[in-house]
Amino acid sequence: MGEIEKNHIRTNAQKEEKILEFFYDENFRKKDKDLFNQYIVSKVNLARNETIENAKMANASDYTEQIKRKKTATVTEKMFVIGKDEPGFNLLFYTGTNYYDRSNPQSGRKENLTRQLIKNQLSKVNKKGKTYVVFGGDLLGSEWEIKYLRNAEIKDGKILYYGMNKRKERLIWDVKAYLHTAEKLGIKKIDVYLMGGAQEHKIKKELGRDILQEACEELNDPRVHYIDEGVSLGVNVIKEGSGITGILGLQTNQTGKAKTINGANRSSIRDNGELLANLIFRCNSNVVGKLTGDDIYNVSTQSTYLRTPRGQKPDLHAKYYDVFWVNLENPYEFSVVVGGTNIFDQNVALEQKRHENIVRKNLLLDQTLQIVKSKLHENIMEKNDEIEFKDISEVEYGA
Amino acid sequence: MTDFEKALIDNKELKVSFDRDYLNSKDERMEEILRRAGSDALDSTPIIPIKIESANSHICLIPLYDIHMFGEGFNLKRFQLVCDYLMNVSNACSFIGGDWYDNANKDSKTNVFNSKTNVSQALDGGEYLLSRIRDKILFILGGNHDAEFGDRVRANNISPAKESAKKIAPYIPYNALLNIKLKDKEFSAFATHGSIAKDPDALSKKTLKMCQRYGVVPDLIFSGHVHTELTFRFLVSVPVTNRDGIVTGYKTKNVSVEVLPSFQGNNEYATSLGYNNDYTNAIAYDIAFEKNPCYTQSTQNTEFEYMLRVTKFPVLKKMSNEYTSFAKEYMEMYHEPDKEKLKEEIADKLEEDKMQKALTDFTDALNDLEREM
Repeated sequence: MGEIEKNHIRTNAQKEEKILEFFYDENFRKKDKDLFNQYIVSKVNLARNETIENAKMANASDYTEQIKRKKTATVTEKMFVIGKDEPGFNLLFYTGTNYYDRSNPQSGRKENLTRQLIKNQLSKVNKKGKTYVVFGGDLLGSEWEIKYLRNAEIKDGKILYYGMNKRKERLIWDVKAYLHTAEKLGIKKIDVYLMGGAQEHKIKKELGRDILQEACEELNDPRVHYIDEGVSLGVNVIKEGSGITGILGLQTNQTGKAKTINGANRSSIRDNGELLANLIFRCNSNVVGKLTGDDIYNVSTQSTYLRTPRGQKPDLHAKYYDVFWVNLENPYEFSVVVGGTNIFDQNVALEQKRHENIVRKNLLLDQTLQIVKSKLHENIMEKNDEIEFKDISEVEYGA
Repeated sequence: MTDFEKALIDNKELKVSFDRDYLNSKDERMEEILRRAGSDALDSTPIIPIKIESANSHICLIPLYDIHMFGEGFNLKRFQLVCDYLMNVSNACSFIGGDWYDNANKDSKTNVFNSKTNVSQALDGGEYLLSRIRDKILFILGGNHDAEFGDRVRANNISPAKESAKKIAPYIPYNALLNIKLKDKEFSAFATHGSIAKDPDALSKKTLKMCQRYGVVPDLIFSGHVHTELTFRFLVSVPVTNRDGIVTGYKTKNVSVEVLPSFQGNNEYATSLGYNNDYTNAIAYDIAFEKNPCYTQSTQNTEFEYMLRVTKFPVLKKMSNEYTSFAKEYMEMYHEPDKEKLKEEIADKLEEDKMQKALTDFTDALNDLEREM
């Protein structure tokens, strides 16, 4: 009884302290104490008195350092290389997973089908070329903010809130799932690229944590890369041995809620800016497809619903527009096969054989028919020779 | 039709049949036309159902939209390459998506004096070019340049496309609703020229509404008219009925609006509007079925067991008159056998004494039968 008395929360301030404790455990690592303190100061206005007392104003060099950290690159250092004997490469997208968000959950998560969906994607991969999997932003969700903890449901003594640490675990799990499934399917050349979107950008700004960087470090796999130069970037694509190059664009920043083609296009340009590339893949758009005459593909996401204005019923998101085969045909000219090129299953060879047999049979029938016709015609002409035709010029009509 | 000719037709892997009231016979068509003329029926935008059955698990559909034969900007070389591709790929078939001709009526926006030939020559040339691939064309849709769509009140409405089509393939004036069966599985596709709606958003809504009266939600919607390659994909909840027609639930399905590019390159009209019409091409769709990864015991009420797998690829490179690398690979996989070589092999076999004797015996038997009769 005494123990319970000692630990019992009696005041709102103590309750707030406890909530912050939960928030810290869920969203920060043990070594991120400074980040957590920074978060408290910036967000919840609970700066400790001594922090304020000991603080000083920044100077010009602090400002320079601050703006240097802002990413303004337009081309990433990463490159996609098409080998000499490779007819192209596979490009797969895995975006908009919104890990642990309830309002817009990951498709298939409810039924534990995410592995199945990953396997389905990888089954479309052509092993003649490399496979690049782009985790294109909006992965970590948005329901990690402290307001969701404050309003979280408590069920069976459990607080139904899922912070950044759990979301990062899920991300690592999914990356591993791609690598393991690829191994099982015999896909040897695979690389995973993590690229942040609007959600990751907000997390960096508010919590000070670069989760994708942390995931990359924890995975510690040479096949996993982090594209951290921005959200709208060009990637150089090079075809070995031919000198042919092209620029492929990746854009991941989408926050618009428009559901029409024109609206979605306008909001994409607003969120990502213009990018001059020969081929662009846009992630996390509300509208899926190739929506303008330019070579811009809005890929489908793993989200269940479209981003929808508050108060409106959300529409379901289109699926399976996330596997592509890309080749450089000429300098700066890409060709894109939508849906992947691993389509020649064993049925195809058998059906082609059957087709050849049918063509042969039809030709045989045709030629046999010609021969039989001509033989019948010969017979008829022979019979005509046996008949004695009267010279009708001497016949008297009516006789 | 002789038994031999019938046997030849029965050996085809693709069978196409049309709505009974529409194209089965001339008499039945006339009966339908007269019935409509005598009734209160309005000629709103009708749909002609077409059934296509394939013995194969894959079909390669290469719709040819907005050819604008011999009009300003028509690219003959690229069109011929696509025709060759159709002939050389065994499972490929096509349909003409409207605007076969360019200046078939006074409403045409392209400058008739910039055409490569006059209209009469375009008709002759168009029939000649399409007669080569006649066996691959399932049907021909009317377009606004063919005088079928467009303002009915003003222009000459005797559609040259319809007259030319008599020599090539069945003519569908407005829209076709295809029911395509690949072995034992079916899907639906809707084909229209595209001038019925101003953009893919509007087209998708209009199409779904039109198909509702047939109780169908098409998986694919083919369109053209805007001379630009576009795709718009969205998810719909489709009502599922039992044998008695009672709706038992809703299942989700991806629907794709596919807007095809044209064979008409740059012209005065397009340039004046700032369009970039450099890109002329045909797009091929390899269509098959695959198991839906989201289908399980718990999701069987909301997910279909099988879904369409569509692999879409351009036939030609943009900057050169060559096939794209995957188009070449596809053609190698599905290459039409060399008929001349096969004919020679068969002719050699038929020349053999054994075969000659068998054929002579056969014709003698026919003669005996004829004598008896």
